[in-house]
Amino acid sequence: MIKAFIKAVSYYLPANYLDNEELNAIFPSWSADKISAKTGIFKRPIAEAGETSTDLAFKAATKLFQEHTIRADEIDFVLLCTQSPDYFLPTSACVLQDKLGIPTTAGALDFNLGCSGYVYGLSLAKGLISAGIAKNILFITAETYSKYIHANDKGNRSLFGDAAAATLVSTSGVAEIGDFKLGTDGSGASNLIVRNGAFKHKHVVGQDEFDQEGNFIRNDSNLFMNGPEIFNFTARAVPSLISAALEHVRLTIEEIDLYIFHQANEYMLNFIRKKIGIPTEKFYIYLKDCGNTVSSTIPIALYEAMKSKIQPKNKVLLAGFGVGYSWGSTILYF
Amino acid sequence: MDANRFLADILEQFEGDVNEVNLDVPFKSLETWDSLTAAAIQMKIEDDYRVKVEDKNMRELTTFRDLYNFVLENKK
Repeated sequence: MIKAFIKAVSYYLPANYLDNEELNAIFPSWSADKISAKTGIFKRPIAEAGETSTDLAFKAATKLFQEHTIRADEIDFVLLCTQSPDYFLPTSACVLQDKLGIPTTAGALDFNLGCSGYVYGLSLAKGLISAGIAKNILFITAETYSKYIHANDKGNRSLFGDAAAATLVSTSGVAEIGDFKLGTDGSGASNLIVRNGAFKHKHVVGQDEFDQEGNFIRNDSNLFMNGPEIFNFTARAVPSLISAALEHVRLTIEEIDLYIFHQANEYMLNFIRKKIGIPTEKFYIYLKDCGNTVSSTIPIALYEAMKSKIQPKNKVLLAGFGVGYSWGSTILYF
Repeated sequence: MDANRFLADILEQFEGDVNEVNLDVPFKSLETWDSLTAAAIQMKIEDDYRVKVEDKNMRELTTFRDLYNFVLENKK
Protein backbone atom coordinates (compact mmCIF):
# COMPACT_ATOMS: atom_id res chain seq x y z
CA MET A 1 0.00 0.00 0.00
CA ILE A 2 1.29 3.44 -0.91
CA LYS A 3 1.74 5.38 2.30
CA ALA A 4 0.34 8.88 2.81
CA PHE A 5 2.13 11.69 4.63
CA ILE A 6 1.49 15.18 5.83
CA LYS A 7 4.18 17.13 4.03
CA ALA A 8 3.37 20.76 4.90
CA VAL A 9 0.82 22.84 6.84
CA SER A 10 0.04 26.58 6.77
CA TYR A 11 -2.87 28.68 7.88
CA TYR A 12 -4.45 32.07 7.34
CA LEU A 13 -6.41 34.24 9.81
CA PRO A 14 -8.43 37.27 8.69
CA ALA A 15 -6.91 40.59 9.72
CA ASN A 16 -9.67 41.89 12.01
CA TYR A 17 -10.46 40.49 15.44
CA LEU A 18 -13.35 40.47 17.87
CA ASP A 19 -11.73 40.62 21.32
CA ASN A 20 -13.18 40.18 24.81
CA GLU A 21 -13.28 43.90 25.55
CA GLU A 22 -15.45 44.46 22.49
CA LEU A 23 -17.71 41.57 23.48
CA ASN A 24 -18.05 43.08 26.95
CA ALA A 25 -19.03 46.42 25.38
CA ILE A 26 -21.81 44.66 23.43
CA PHE A 27 -22.88 42.39 26.33
CA PRO A 28 -22.23 44.39 29.54
CA SER A 29 -22.86 41.52 31.98
CA TRP A 30 -20.39 39.28 30.13
CA SER A 31 -17.06 40.55 31.47
CA ALA A 32 -13.79 40.09 29.59
CA ASP A 33 -12.39 38.04 32.51
CA LYS A 34 -15.43 35.78 32.57
CA ILE A 35 -15.14 35.16 28.83
CA SER A 36 -11.48 34.16 28.97
CA ALA A 37 -11.97 32.08 32.14
CA LYS A 38 -14.83 30.13 30.61
CA THR A 39 -13.63 29.70 27.02
CA GLY A 40 -9.86 30.14 27.12
CA ILE A 41 -10.26 32.64 24.26
CA PHE A 42 -9.08 36.29 24.19
CA LYS A 43 -9.75 37.19 20.55
CA ARG A 44 -11.25 35.67 17.40
CA PRO A 45 -10.47 36.56 13.77
CA ILE A 46 -13.56 37.60 11.83
CA ALA A 47 -13.72 37.70 8.02
CA GLU A 48 -14.66 40.98 6.33
CA ALA A 49 -18.16 41.45 4.93
CA GLY A 50 -17.12 40.53 1.40
CA GLU A 51 -14.48 37.96 2.40
CA THR A 52 -15.69 34.39 1.94
CA SER A 53 -14.35 31.00 2.93
CA THR A 54 -12.96 30.57 -0.60
CA ASP A 55 -11.02 33.83 -0.16
CA LEU A 56 -9.60 32.48 3.11
CA ALA A 57 -8.84 29.16 1.42
CA PHE A 58 -7.01 30.93 -1.39
CA LYS A 59 -4.88 32.87 1.10
CA ALA A 60 -4.08 29.75 3.14
CA ALA A 61 -3.05 27.86 0.00
CA THR A 62 -0.90 30.78 -1.18
CA LYS A 63 0.78 30.88 2.21
CA LEU A 64 1.39 27.11 2.04
CA PHE A 65 3.01 27.45 -1.40
CA GLN A 66 5.21 30.34 -0.27
CA GLU A 67 6.19 29.00 3.16
CA HIS A 68 7.08 25.56 1.88
CA THR A 69 8.24 26.30 -1.68
CA ILE A 70 5.50 24.37 -3.40
CA ARG A 71 4.40 25.11 -6.97
CA ALA A 72 0.73 25.14 -7.94
CA ASP A 73 1.51 22.86 -10.90
CA GLU A 74 2.65 20.11 -8.48
CA ILE A 75 -0.88 19.72 -7.11
CA ASP A 76 -3.05 16.95 -8.59
CA PHE A 77 -6.06 17.11 -6.27
CA VAL A 78 -7.88 19.84 -4.33
CA LEU A 79 -9.98 18.86 -1.30
CA LEU A 80 -11.93 21.65 0.39
CA CYS A 81 -13.80 21.24 3.66
CA THR A 82 -16.34 24.00 4.33
CA GLN A 83 -19.87 24.53 5.60
CA SER A 84 -20.05 28.12 4.34
CA PRO A 85 -19.32 27.77 0.61
CA ASP A 86 -19.42 30.61 -1.89
CA TYR A 87 -22.24 28.96 -3.86
CA PHE A 88 -24.61 26.01 -3.66
CA LEU A 89 -22.97 25.19 -6.98
CA PRO A 90 -20.45 25.12 -8.54
CA THR A 91 -18.02 23.40 -6.19
CA SER A 92 -15.79 25.94 -4.45
CA ALA A 93 -12.77 23.68 -4.92
CA CYS A 94 -13.22 24.05 -8.69
CA VAL A 95 -13.16 27.83 -8.32
CA LEU A 96 -10.02 27.51 -6.18
CA GLN A 97 -8.27 25.33 -8.78
CA ASP A 98 -8.73 28.14 -11.28
CA LYS A 99 -7.71 30.93 -8.89
CA LEU A 100 -4.59 29.11 -7.74
CA GLY A 101 -3.42 28.10 -11.21
CA ILE A 102 -3.54 24.39 -10.43
CA PRO A 103 -3.43 22.19 -13.57
CA THR A 104 -6.76 21.32 -15.17
CA THR A 105 -5.74 17.65 -14.93
CA ALA A 106 -6.28 17.85 -11.17
CA GLY A 107 -9.34 16.53 -9.34
CA ALA A 108 -11.29 18.80 -6.98
CA LEU A 109 -14.19 18.48 -4.59
CA ASP A 110 -15.83 20.09 -1.56
CA PHE A 111 -17.02 18.19 1.43
CA ASN A 112 -19.34 19.47 4.14
CA LEU A 113 -18.13 18.80 7.67
CA GLY A 114 -17.29 20.98 10.64
CA CYS A 115 -15.24 20.10 13.68
CA SER A 116 -14.45 16.57 12.46
CA GLY A 117 -13.51 17.87 8.99
CA TYR A 118 -9.73 17.81 9.29
CA VAL A 119 -9.60 14.16 10.34
CA TYR A 120 -12.09 13.15 7.63
CA GLY A 121 -10.13 15.13 5.03
CA LEU A 122 -6.96 13.29 5.98
CA SER A 123 -8.84 9.99 5.59
CA LEU A 124 -10.02 10.97 2.10
CA ALA A 125 -6.54 12.17 1.14
CA LYS A 126 -4.99 8.96 2.42
CA GLY A 127 -7.48 6.97 0.37
CA LEU A 128 -6.63 8.90 -2.78
CA ILE A 129 -2.90 8.40 -2.20
CA SER A 130 -3.18 4.71 -1.29
CA ALA A 131 -5.27 3.97 -4.37
CA GLY A 132 -2.75 5.73 -6.60
CA ILE A 133 -5.34 8.32 -7.63
CA ALA A 134 -3.34 11.33 -6.50
CA LYS A 135 0.17 12.13 -5.31
CA ASN A 136 0.05 15.73 -4.05
CA ILE A 137 -3.23 16.71 -2.46
CA LEU A 138 -3.97 20.29 -1.48
CA PHE A 139 -6.36 19.78 1.43
CA ILE A 140 -7.92 22.98 2.75
CA THR A 141 -10.28 23.60 5.65
CA ALA A 142 -11.99 27.01 5.42
CA GLU A 143 -14.83 28.37 7.52
CA THR A 144 -16.72 31.60 8.16
CA TYR A 145 -19.19 30.65 10.92
CA SER A 146 -19.28 34.36 11.89
CA LYS A 147 -21.56 34.90 8.90
CA TYR A 148 -24.09 32.46 10.39
CA ILE A 149 -24.02 33.87 13.92
CA HIS A 150 -26.69 36.31 15.16
CA ALA A 151 -25.43 39.65 16.50
CA ASN A 152 -27.19 39.00 19.84
CA ASP A 153 -25.77 35.51 20.27
CA LYS A 154 -23.32 36.10 23.11
CA GLY A 155 -22.26 32.47 23.45
CA ASN A 156 -21.46 31.69 19.83
CA ARG A 157 -19.87 35.08 19.18
CA SER A 158 -17.52 34.35 22.09
CA LEU A 159 -16.46 31.00 20.74
CA PHE A 160 -16.10 30.98 16.98
CA GLY A 161 -13.37 32.46 14.80
CA ASP A 162 -12.96 32.45 11.00
CA ALA A 163 -9.90 30.85 9.43
CA ALA A 164 -8.51 28.59 6.76
CA ALA A 165 -5.70 26.04 6.88
CA ALA A 166 -3.92 24.33 3.99
CA THR A 167 -2.19 20.96 4.20
CA LEU A 168 -0.17 19.17 1.55
CA VAL A 169 -0.77 15.42 1.75
CA SER A 170 1.72 13.51 -0.32
CA THR A 171 3.60 10.23 -0.90
CA SER A 172 6.41 11.48 1.35
CA GLY A 173 6.59 13.99 4.18
CA VAL A 174 7.18 14.71 7.86
CA ALA A 175 4.42 12.58 9.34
CA GLU A 176 2.92 9.32 8.13
CA ILE A 177 -0.87 9.25 8.41
CA GLY A 178 -1.93 6.16 10.34
CA ASP A 179 -5.25 4.37 10.68
CA PHE A 180 -8.60 6.00 11.39
CA LYS A 181 -11.52 5.52 13.71
CA LEU A 182 -14.65 7.37 12.64
CA GLY A 183 -18.18 7.82 13.95
CA THR A 184 -21.50 9.43 13.14
CA ASP A 185 -24.73 10.03 15.03
CA GLY A 186 -27.29 12.02 13.10
CA SER A 187 -29.73 11.95 16.03
CA GLY A 188 -27.76 14.94 17.32
CA ALA A 189 -28.27 16.98 14.14
CA SER A 190 -30.58 19.58 15.64
CA ASN A 191 -28.14 20.48 18.43
CA LEU A 192 -25.70 22.30 16.14
CA ILE A 193 -27.52 23.62 13.13
CA VAL A 194 -28.40 26.46 10.78
CA ARG A 195 -31.96 25.39 10.16
CA ASN A 196 -33.11 27.73 7.42
CA GLY A 197 -31.71 28.74 4.06
CA ALA A 198 -31.02 25.46 2.29
CA PHE A 199 -33.66 23.24 0.76
CA LYS A 200 -35.38 21.82 3.86
CA HIS A 201 -36.58 25.28 4.97
CA LYS A 202 -35.65 27.51 2.07
CA HIS A 203 -38.08 30.37 2.39
CA VAL A 204 -38.68 30.39 6.14
CA VAL A 205 -37.59 33.61 7.82
CA GLY A 206 -36.37 32.95 11.35
CA GLN A 207 -37.71 34.81 14.39
CA ASP A 208 -35.63 35.89 17.38
CA GLU A 209 -36.43 33.72 20.41
CA PHE A 210 -35.69 34.80 23.98
CA ASP A 211 -35.76 33.15 27.40
CA GLN A 212 -37.72 34.38 30.43
CA GLU A 213 -34.89 36.74 31.42
CA GLY A 214 -34.88 38.33 27.97
CA ASN A 215 -31.67 36.60 26.85
CA PHE A 216 -31.41 35.73 23.17
CA ILE A 217 -31.65 31.98 22.60
CA ARG A 218 -31.92 31.39 18.87
CA ASN A 219 -33.11 32.40 15.46
CA ASP A 220 -33.56 29.53 13.02
CA SER A 221 -31.87 31.47 10.24
CA ASN A 222 -28.70 31.64 12.34
CA LEU A 223 -26.30 29.16 13.92
CA PHE A 224 -27.81 27.39 16.92
CA MET A 225 -25.73 25.31 19.33
CA ASN A 226 -27.15 23.52 22.36
CA GLY A 227 -24.11 23.82 24.63
CA PRO A 228 -25.04 21.26 27.31
CA GLU A 229 -26.12 18.66 24.71
CA ILE A 230 -22.90 19.12 22.75
CA PHE A 231 -20.98 18.82 26.02
CA ASN A 232 -22.78 15.57 26.86
CA PHE A 233 -22.19 14.13 23.41
CA THR A 234 -18.51 15.07 23.40
CA ALA A 235 -17.82 13.86 26.94
CA ARG A 236 -19.29 10.48 26.03
CA ALA A 237 -18.11 10.01 22.43
CA VAL A 238 -14.52 11.24 22.68
CA PRO A 239 -13.25 8.95 25.48
CA SER A 240 -14.71 5.97 23.57
CA LEU A 241 -13.10 7.20 20.37
CA ILE A 242 -9.67 7.48 21.99
CA SER A 243 -9.97 4.00 23.55
CA ALA A 244 -10.93 2.51 20.21
CA ALA A 245 -8.13 4.32 18.37
CA LEU A 246 -5.49 3.17 20.85
CA GLU A 247 -6.79 -0.39 21.07
CA HIS A 248 -6.72 -0.65 17.29
CA VAL A 249 -2.98 0.05 17.19
CA ARG A 250 -2.25 -1.63 20.55
CA LEU A 251 -0.91 1.50 22.18
CA THR A 252 -1.51 2.81 25.68
CA ILE A 253 -2.42 6.40 26.58
CA GLU A 254 1.17 6.93 27.75
CA GLU A 255 2.65 5.83 24.44
CA ILE A 256 1.12 8.76 22.57
CA ASP A 257 3.44 11.77 22.76
CA LEU A 258 0.90 14.49 22.04
CA TYR A 259 -2.88 14.76 21.78
CA ILE A 260 -4.33 17.43 19.52
CA PHE A 261 -8.10 17.57 19.84
CA HIS A 262 -10.50 19.85 18.03
CA GLN A 263 -10.18 23.12 19.99
CA ALA A 264 -13.86 23.58 20.88
CA ASN A 265 -13.45 25.54 24.11
CA GLU A 266 -10.99 25.18 26.95
CA TYR A 267 -13.54 24.25 29.61
CA MET A 268 -14.83 21.25 27.70
CA LEU A 269 -11.35 20.21 26.59
CA ASN A 270 -10.08 20.13 30.17
CA PHE A 271 -13.07 18.10 31.30
CA ILE A 272 -12.47 15.50 28.58
CA ARG A 273 -8.73 15.49 29.21
CA LYS A 274 -9.30 14.63 32.88
CA LYS A 275 -11.96 12.08 32.04
CA ILE A 276 -9.65 10.22 29.65
CA GLY A 277 -6.63 10.62 31.94
CA ILE A 278 -4.27 12.46 29.58
CA PRO A 279 -1.51 14.40 31.41
CA THR A 280 -1.60 18.19 30.81
CA GLU A 281 1.86 18.29 29.25
CA LYS A 282 0.73 15.91 26.49
CA PHE A 283 -2.53 17.72 25.79
CA TYR A 284 -2.06 20.55 23.30
CA ILE A 285 -4.21 23.63 23.68
CA TYR A 286 -4.09 26.48 21.17
CA LEU A 287 -7.12 28.68 20.91
CA LYS A 288 -6.62 31.84 22.91
CA ASP A 289 -5.88 34.02 19.88
CA CYS A 290 -8.12 32.40 17.29
CA GLY A 291 -11.03 30.74 19.10
CA ASN A 292 -12.89 27.78 17.68
CA THR A 293 -12.15 27.86 13.95
CA VAL A 294 -14.16 24.68 13.34
CA SER A 295 -12.34 22.37 10.86
CA SER A 296 -9.17 24.48 11.05
CA THR A 297 -8.55 24.12 14.79
CA ILE A 298 -6.56 20.91 14.43
CA PRO A 299 -4.27 21.99 11.56
CA ILE A 300 -3.66 25.37 13.24
CA ALA A 301 -2.74 23.64 16.50
CA LEU A 302 -0.65 21.11 14.57
CA TYR A 303 1.26 23.88 12.79
CA GLU A 304 2.00 25.57 16.12
CA ALA A 305 2.94 22.29 17.82
CA MET A 306 5.29 21.43 14.97
CA LYS A 307 7.30 24.59 15.69
CA SER A 308 8.85 23.18 18.85
CA LYS A 309 6.62 20.76 20.72
CA ILE A 310 6.67 17.78 18.34
CA GLN A 311 9.93 15.81 17.97
CA PRO A 312 11.01 13.21 15.39
CA LYS A 313 9.61 9.74 16.15
CA ASN A 314 6.69 11.26 18.09
CA LYS A 315 3.22 9.76 17.80
CA VAL A 316 0.54 12.46 17.69
CA LEU A 317 -3.14 11.59 18.07
CA LEU A 318 -5.65 13.90 16.36
CA ALA A 319 -9.34 13.83 17.31
CA GLY A 320 -12.13 15.89 15.75
CA PHE A 321 -15.73 15.86 16.99
CA GLY A 322 -18.83 17.99 16.73
CA VAL A 323 -21.51 19.09 14.31
CA GLY A 324 -23.40 16.19 12.73
CA TYR A 325 -22.76 14.62 15.10
CA SER A 326 -19.54 13.46 13.48
CA TRP A 327 -16.24 12.36 14.98
CA GLY A 328 -12.96 10.78 14.02
CA SER A 329 -9.37 10.27 15.01
CA THR A 330 -6.06 9.28 13.49
CA ILE A 331 -2.46 8.95 14.63
CA LEU A 332 0.40 10.77 12.92
CA TYR A 333 3.83 9.15 13.04
CA PHE A 334 6.59 11.75 12.87
CA MET B 1 -18.96 8.62 50.60
CA ASP B 2 -16.95 11.51 51.99
CA ALA B 3 -18.74 14.88 51.84
CA ASN B 4 -15.57 16.94 51.50
CA ARG B 5 -14.28 14.73 48.73
CA PHE B 6 -17.62 15.10 46.96
CA LEU B 7 -17.49 18.89 47.35
CA ALA B 8 -13.95 18.99 45.96
CA ASP B 9 -15.03 16.93 42.93
CA ILE B 10 -17.95 19.28 42.21
CA LEU B 11 -15.91 22.45 42.83
CA GLU B 12 -13.39 21.23 40.26
CA GLN B 13 -16.04 21.99 37.62
CA PHE B 14 -15.98 25.70 38.50
CA GLU B 15 -13.26 28.04 37.27
CA GLY B 16 -11.73 30.70 39.49
CA ASP B 17 -11.35 30.94 43.26
CA VAL B 18 -13.58 28.49 45.12
CA ASN B 19 -11.67 28.47 48.44
CA GLU B 20 -14.44 30.02 50.55
CA VAL B 21 -17.11 27.65 49.29
CA ASN B 22 -18.66 25.17 51.73
CA LEU B 23 -21.46 22.61 51.46
CA ASP B 24 -24.17 25.11 52.40
CA VAL B 25 -23.44 27.53 49.56
CA PRO B 26 -26.03 27.53 46.74
CA PHE B 27 -24.12 26.11 43.78
CA LYS B 28 -25.94 28.27 41.22
CA SER B 29 -24.75 31.41 43.01
CA LEU B 30 -21.09 30.95 42.06
CA GLU B 31 -19.66 33.49 39.60
CA THR B 32 -18.85 31.04 36.81
CA TRP B 33 -22.02 28.95 37.04
CA ASP B 34 -23.74 28.37 33.70
CA SER B 35 -25.40 25.60 31.71
CA LEU B 36 -22.02 24.03 30.85
CA THR B 37 -21.10 23.84 34.55
CA ALA B 38 -24.41 22.09 35.16
CA ALA B 39 -23.69 19.57 32.38
CA ALA B 40 -20.18 18.95 33.74
CA ILE B 41 -21.49 18.37 37.28
CA GLN B 42 -24.17 15.98 36.05
CA MET B 43 -21.60 14.03 34.05
CA LYS B 44 -19.04 13.95 36.88
CA ILE B 45 -21.67 12.58 39.27
CA GLU B 46 -22.80 10.00 36.74
CA ASP B 47 -19.22 8.89 35.98
CA ASP B 48 -17.87 8.81 39.54
CA TYR B 49 -20.93 8.12 41.69
CA ARG B 50 -23.15 6.28 39.20
CA VAL B 51 -26.15 8.51 39.96
CA LYS B 52 -28.17 10.22 37.23
CA VAL B 53 -29.01 13.82 38.13
CA GLU B 54 -31.74 14.99 35.72
CA ASP B 55 -32.10 18.59 34.57
CA LYS B 56 -35.19 18.97 36.76
CA ASN B 57 -33.21 17.76 39.79
CA MET B 58 -30.56 20.39 39.05
CA ARG B 59 -33.30 23.04 38.94
CA GLU B 60 -34.81 21.92 42.26
CA LEU B 61 -31.60 21.38 44.28
CA THR B 62 -30.04 24.47 45.83
CA THR B 63 -26.90 23.91 47.91
CA PHE B 64 -23.90 21.64 47.47
CA ARG B 65 -25.24 19.74 50.47
CA ASP B 66 -28.55 19.20 48.63
CA LEU B 67 -26.55 17.70 45.75
CA TYR B 68 -24.55 15.54 48.16
CA ASN B 69 -27.70 14.24 49.87
CA PHE B 70 -29.35 13.57 46.52
CA VAL B 71 -26.40 11.44 45.46
CA LEU B 72 -26.33 9.62 48.84
CA GLU B 73 -30.03 8.81 48.57
CA ASN B 74 -29.82 7.58 44.99
CA LYS B 75 -26.51 5.72 45.09
CA LYS B 76 -26.94 1.99 44.48
